[in-house]
Formats: sequence, structure tokens, C-alpha cells
Amino acid sequence: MSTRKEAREPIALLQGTLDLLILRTLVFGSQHGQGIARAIELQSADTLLVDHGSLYPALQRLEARGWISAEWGVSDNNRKARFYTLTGIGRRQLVTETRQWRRLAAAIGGILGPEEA
Amino acid sequence: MRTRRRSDDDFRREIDAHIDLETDRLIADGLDPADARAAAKRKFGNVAQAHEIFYESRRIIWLDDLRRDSRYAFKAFTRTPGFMIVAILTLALAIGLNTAIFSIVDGVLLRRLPVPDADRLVRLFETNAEAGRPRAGGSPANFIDWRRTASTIDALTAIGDTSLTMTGVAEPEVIIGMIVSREFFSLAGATPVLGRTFAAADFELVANAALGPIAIREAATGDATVIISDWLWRRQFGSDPRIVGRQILLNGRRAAIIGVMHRDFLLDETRTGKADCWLPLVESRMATYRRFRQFTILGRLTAGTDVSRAQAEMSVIAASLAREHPRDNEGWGVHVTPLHESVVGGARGVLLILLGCVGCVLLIACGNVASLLLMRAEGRAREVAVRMALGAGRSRLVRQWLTESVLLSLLGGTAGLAVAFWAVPAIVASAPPNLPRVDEIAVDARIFAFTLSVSMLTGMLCGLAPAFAARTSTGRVVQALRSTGVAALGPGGRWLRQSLVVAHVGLAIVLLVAAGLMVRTLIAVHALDLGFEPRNVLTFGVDLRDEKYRGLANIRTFSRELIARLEALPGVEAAGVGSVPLLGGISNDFGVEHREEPVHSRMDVPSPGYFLGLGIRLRHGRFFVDADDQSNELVAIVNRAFARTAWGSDEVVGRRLRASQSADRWMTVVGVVDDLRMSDLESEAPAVVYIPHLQSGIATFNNYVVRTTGDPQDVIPLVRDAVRGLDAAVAVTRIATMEERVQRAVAPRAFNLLLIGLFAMVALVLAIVGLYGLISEAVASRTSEIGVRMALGARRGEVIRLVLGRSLVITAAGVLLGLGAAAAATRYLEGMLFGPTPLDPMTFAGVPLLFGIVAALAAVMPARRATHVDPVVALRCE
Repeated sequence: MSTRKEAREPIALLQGTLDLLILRTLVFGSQHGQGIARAIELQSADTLLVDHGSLYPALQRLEARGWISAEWGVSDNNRKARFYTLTGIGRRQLVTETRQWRRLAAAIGGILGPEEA
Repeated sequence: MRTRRRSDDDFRREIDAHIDLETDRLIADGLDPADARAAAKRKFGNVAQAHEIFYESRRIIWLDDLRRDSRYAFKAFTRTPGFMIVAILTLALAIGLNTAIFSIVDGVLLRRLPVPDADRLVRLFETNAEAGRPRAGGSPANFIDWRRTASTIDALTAIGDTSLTMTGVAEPEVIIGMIVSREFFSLAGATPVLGRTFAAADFELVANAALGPIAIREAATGDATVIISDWLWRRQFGSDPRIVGRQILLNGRRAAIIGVMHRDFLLDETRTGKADCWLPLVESRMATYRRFRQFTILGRLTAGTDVSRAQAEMSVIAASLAREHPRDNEGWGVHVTPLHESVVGGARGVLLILLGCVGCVLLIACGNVASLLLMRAEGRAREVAVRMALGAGRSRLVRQWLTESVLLSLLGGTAGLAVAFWAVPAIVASAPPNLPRVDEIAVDARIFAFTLSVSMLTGMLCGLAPAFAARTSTGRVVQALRSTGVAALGPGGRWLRQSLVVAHVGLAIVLLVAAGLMVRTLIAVHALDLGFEPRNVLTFGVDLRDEKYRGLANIRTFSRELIARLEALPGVEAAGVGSVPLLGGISNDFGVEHREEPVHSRMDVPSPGYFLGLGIRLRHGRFFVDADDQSNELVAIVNRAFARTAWGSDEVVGRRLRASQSADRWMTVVGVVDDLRMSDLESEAPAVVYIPHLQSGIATFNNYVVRTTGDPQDVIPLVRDAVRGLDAAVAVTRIATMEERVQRAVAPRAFNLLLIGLFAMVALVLAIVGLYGLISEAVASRTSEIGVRMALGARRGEVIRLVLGRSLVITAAGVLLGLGAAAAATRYLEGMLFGPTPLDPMTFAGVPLLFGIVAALAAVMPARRATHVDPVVALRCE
């Protein structure tokens, strides 16, 4: 993720983060790949620009682990698309990961100190 | 949890859908369709990469690569069929021969004996080194005592053998009977296919005892019980399903057939051949015989003991028996040995040597194929370069080459199996009679597994050669892409090929030396003077077990009449009775005038025609005549060995000797004959005393010798008629021509030579082919250089020297290496040699000479090609 200028390395670091974001997006209901990408861009106020293609390895991973399930369906504008849904396990996983992420963010914030004016 | 496998198509559709959706979105945002689609694609990023990640995520990469490599290899092979055929044939031959020999080694040495608990079975021998009997059989009385007292061995079983005349059937014959004690059938784990095994009562029957090896005087009532073999059942009784209960006559006594043994029953070897029938051992009638040491004793170790403990216990038991029965058992101990060892021990040495030799052949074949692969790799320099430029790592390329060579070897291995299928029966058919467990040799699943593993190993070994020698550094790659004249293999490759050839030559020399020693052995054996003339001689025996032939007088009458009839037959030059050479004989002590100690010598009891029949050469005096009978002076003929031992000279006609047990019957020597080989081919001819069969009071023989004018086989039916004419109940047995017997005696040596010679020839061919290849390549790669030199005025001799110089060095190095290795290795052949020593100079000198000549011939063609290079042409193509 991040702007296209970055090398592959940071993406690897943030792989777990991408999974988390996908799971979070799917809380609000099933969505297809393009929709998930859009949602992330929207909700992060365009700070995070996703290479749409790099979403798919994450989706495959999540699907293989059984945290999401997938099915072909029809989108709003009558296009065929593959829709992903959060599974029970995925939902529980989301809770765990979110908690961990918030703790991590708080810890880092504590070290970095308050934002300088 | 695994989701269902998605296909690549499915994923492609998903990506397409994604891009479509994004396009729609951007159109809705206001872009025009073409721009929208382009932007959508850009946003997606690298489609190809996404595909690749998906593709790789759900595949086992190396399996995929393997499939691709194999397909590629196949295509490459079919493009160069010549190379493929040569490589596969070479490997097929080598792997096939290896498989064949391994089948034999497996069947004879490695497989467990086909009886239950085979590794716990032991064999017991009585031993008395002082009396010269290190491995004697057990006696009945000792066997009974052992069984009673031994705690480390149970299921002790005694097995004896006897020959029985079977009558009351279509064709009377003499069959071999195996006499077994109670525990035999449970030890052997066998049940009859028809009828039953022996019941407890059978082991008490007098009728059964009467058929045993020890004569009994009681009259037998009732029938003896006998189990017959599958083969006997087929050949004499036509597989009659109602055979159980049928009565036959054995040695003139009534016997009932109570069962038929299974055809695969393999514990049927007796000392004289395969058993035709089994009889119960009636111990009660033999319990007192302590000196009749003719029984094979088997047993099974009890759980938790091993051979050394059993040996210790048996030695103690033997010692106490020797104390209790000093007259019979003094000096006799017991030797316990695993049954497997006693069955196969003798063959082990030879078989392992054969395996070693054939292994050498495989190594040479591997080397040849490796050379071929190296040559091929050179021709693929461009391909290697291109692949490296496209990003293939070195390990990837190595994997490709290994796949190719393993594939080649597997193909070769499959063809090799076909070779083995043909070769194994051929080898078994020509195997000498002393090869144990021949029936158990088979090409089956174990052998397949062996072939498979050998093929794969071979493939990997061969494939390592180009892998090792390839140059894959970037600089070379660039060069290869640019020009066409650079070899993919650097000095590493050339050096490898040369050392391979050196190794080949060395191995071939070792095998050739071994074969040479075998040849000399066989020649030495054939050159032995037999002492008689084996061609056109028929031998046979008769079994005179009937009552009417009790007593020497009756037997003699029969012999005399039979000889008269035989001599009257057309095509017969001479006939006589006497012992058959190469089969052993009896011995006796003879007292000689003016000498204290008696001379221990062999003894034979021939009729006059015997000497002519065998073609024995007379040195002094005369042969026997019909007049040498009971009414005339007692005479004898001696051979030269006896004459020299007893009197120190050949000219002993007129001297006197007597058999030690007949104190007053002095015999006068009337003739001296040449020595002949009585017991076996290779031992020294023993001293022999011949006593006329009409005068002998000691023994007589039932073997007949007939000299024919033509093929002895033609006379066989006439002989049978003659015997039948005298007495229809007498069976003719042990028919063989003398030549067959000599062949059989030579068979083991011939067998060794056959196999080792074959391997040596194959090795020679492969080594020469390798050498030829090397020289050809040397010429080809230096064509331009030769052109330059010739243009500058070099003469043919110089060119040849240039081209062959290196090859000469290589060959010489190989020969020297081979001779050194041979000198170290031939000591293991000692047991197989007769005549030459392991370091026989003639062989060690002759083999390099032979090899040099063949190598020179092989070098001729490339050398000529070198000198016929047209300098202009050579210079032009650069």
C-alpha cells in the first residue's frame, strides 16, 4: 500500500495491516474487490492509496485461512463480481487484531510524544 | 481450512470484473470511456504479477517445474535420436546386466530361506578334525541324545537319504528318498497338497524301517508309508487325483502312498539330488547306531539364544557323550552353524566377485553416458546463455540437466529390465550344479525396486557431469550470445572427459585381467590329463536290490551276462564293469612285500573290458582277461602312483601285494596303467589298485562303462533292452556319457569365465568407444589448428603426433592405473583360480598389449581424418 513510489518493502511490513483493513471494511456487509479498494480509499480520506492488484494476494490469504468466504454475485450496476463475506472466525479475528493494533498505536504514540505545534 | 481450488480462469474473470467495475465508477465520475478504462488499469497495478502470485500460491512449484523439464527433455531427445539411442542402449546393457546379477545374488544370498523362522534355523555337524572329518553328519544315537538334553535348540530334526528301486509302476526307476524324523514337517512349515503327513504310528512301522539305510532283519508286516513329490506324481502317475492309498513296491517291499508334497516345497535337497519321496525315520530301530554319521541334523534356536550360546551348550553335551561312549564318540565334537550359512556360504565369494565386476561395467557405462551428455552440453552453449540471460539461476539449469539424465536413465533402466528378463534364465540355465537355491532366483518386485534405484542413481551421477562442468558466469554468457564458436564447457569439461576416459580404461583393464585369469584357468583345467578317453563313452548303473542278487556270486553272474550282451550290441566296441571316474570310489589298505606299513590306496573292481572301455593307457604288462577268475592265480593291476608309492618305480610287474584284511591272499601285479582322476577333476590322481571282478572277495560295483563307435546317446535304448532282456525288474539308472560328466566337472569354471568374460568384453567395448569419442572430438575441435599447421608445412607424422599425443598419455595413464588396481584386486579371485597365480605375469603383460592394439585400431580413423584435413577449408571456417 502507500503511494506507488515506495518500494515493495513497506508493503510487506504492512501486510497484516491490509488484512485488518479488509476485515474491517467487510463488517459493514459483503463487498467485491473493487468495492473494498474504494472503501479503504474513501474512509482513509485518500491518505492510503491502494494498488488494487495488491489487494488480491491478501484476499486469497484471508480466504485460505477461512476468515472470509467468497461467492460470485451481481453488483449494483448489473456486473458479475465475486463478493466476499466475513465469517464467524473472521469476525472474532477482527476484534483481536483491532485491539492489538490500538495498543500498538498507543504505545508508539506514547514514545513519540504529543504532536509538535 | 482449505477452500476449494479455484481455476486460473476464475481468477482472471474476477480481475476483469474488478477492472470493469472501476471503469464504470470512473465513467460515472465523468471520464470518457477510453480514459476511464486506462485509469482503471493503472489503478489496478501489475495484472501479470497478480496472476503470478495467484498462480504460485496454489501450486507446488517443483512438481510443476519437473513436469515442464520432463516435457522439454523429451523434445530435446527426440530431436537428436542418435544420441538418445546410444545412451539408452548403453545404459540398458549395463543396468540390465547389473539387475541380472543382482537377481542371482538376491535369490541365493540375500533372501531368507523359504521356511518359517529361517533366521533361527541351525545345522549341526559332528566334527573330528584328527580323523579328517571336520563336517560329518550326525548319527541316530547322538541325535536322540542331543534332542533329549539340548535346551538352546529345539525342534531337532534328522534327515537322511537313501535310494530306492521303485517297481509296480509303468517304468521302474531308482528314486531318491528323504528319511525324516518327527519334527521335519513342522520345522519346514509344509503341508501336503494331497493326503496327509506322517502320523505318530508311522514312525514305528517296521515296514518303514526296512526301507531305511540300515538293514534290519525283522520281517515287515503291512505297508510302508511314503509321501511322494509333486514331480514324481506328475511323471510316474500322471497327476492321478486318486493317488492317495495307491500301492507301489519299493525295494521289493509294499508301500502305500499317503500324500503328495506341494510343488513349491523347497526343502527337498539331499546329498544325491532332489528327493522324490519322503519316509519316516524309525528311531527305535536305529537308536543304538552311534557311528553311522550320515544324517543331516537341523534345529531351531529357542527364543532368546544365539548361535554362540547354542554352540557352547552343544560342545558341553558332545564332551559328556564322548565320556559316556568312549569307543564311539571319542574325539568327536559338535559344530553349530546357521542353516543359511551352510547352504549359501560356499557360493558367496564367487557371487560377490561377479557383483563387483558387473558394478565396474555400470560405472563405465555411467561414464560413457556422462561423456555423451558433456558433448551435448557443449552443443547447447547458446541455449544455456539465452536461458541465463532470461533470468534462470544456475540451480535451475542444473535441475534441468539432472531431470534429463534421470529420465534417460529411467528409460535405460526399463530397457534394462527387458535385458534382465532374458538374461536371468539364460544364466541360471548355464549355472553349475553346485549353485545353491537356484529355484529361488526370480525377477520380481524386489528386483524392480533395485533397478529403479540404480537407474535413478545412475542418472544423477551422469547428470552431475555437465552440471559440474558448465560455465555460467555472466561474462561467458555474453560471449556465448555474441558468437557461435565458444564452447559452453570450459577447461573443467575437457578435464572431466579426459579423466573419465582414464577411469574407463582402468576399469576395463581390471576386468580384462580378471577375464584373462579365468581363461587361463579354464585352459589349465582342460589341459589336465584325465588318464582316460572320455569321448564316445556311455556310463550307467543298475540297481540289484532284489533277493535273487544276494551275494557277490549272483551279482557277478549278472554282470558277466550283461557285459556279454553289451559287447554283442552293434556300435559297441568294448564294455566293462567298474567305477565311474570323477565320481569317487572306495579305498582300502594294501600290504606290500618288504614294507612295514600298508599303503592306503583307492580300489576298483573292473572287468577286462573296463580298461578298453575307458581308454586307460597300459604302461607295462597286460590288462585283465576272462581267465583271471576264481580258479586261477590271484592277480592285480596297479597304477603308476601306487607303484611309485609302494615300490618307488614303475616297473613292478611280478611284485606281490595283498589287501590288509585278507592276510593270505597275495596278488601278483600283472600290469601297470597310467593314473586317472578318480574323484574330481582337479585333485591329484590317487594311487589305485585294480582287482579283477571275478576274483574280488571284497566288493563289486554296479556301474558299467561302454565304448561306442558313434554317438553314445544312440546306444541308450539298446542298453535298456539288454538289461530288460536279462531281468525286467532291474532298473537302469545314472545314465550319462563320460563327456557330460567331464563337462559337469568343468562347469563351475566355465560359468565363471562366461560371466566375467562377458563383462570384460562389454567393458572393453565401452572403454574403446569412449576413447574413440575423445580422439574424434580432439580432432574436430582442433581442425583449424591442424589446418594452420599443415599450411605452415607440418608433415602428416607431426599432425598425427599432435592429435594423438594427448590421447596416448591418457590411455597409458589408464592402463597403468588399471594394472595397479588389478594387482591389488586379483587376490580376491584366488578361490576361483586353478593354474595361474593372482599376479600371473602372462596375463598382466598380455592384457595391456591386447588393449593397446584395440585402442590403436580405434585411433586409426580419427587420425586419418586429421591428416586429410584440407588446410584451405580449415582456415576458411573461422
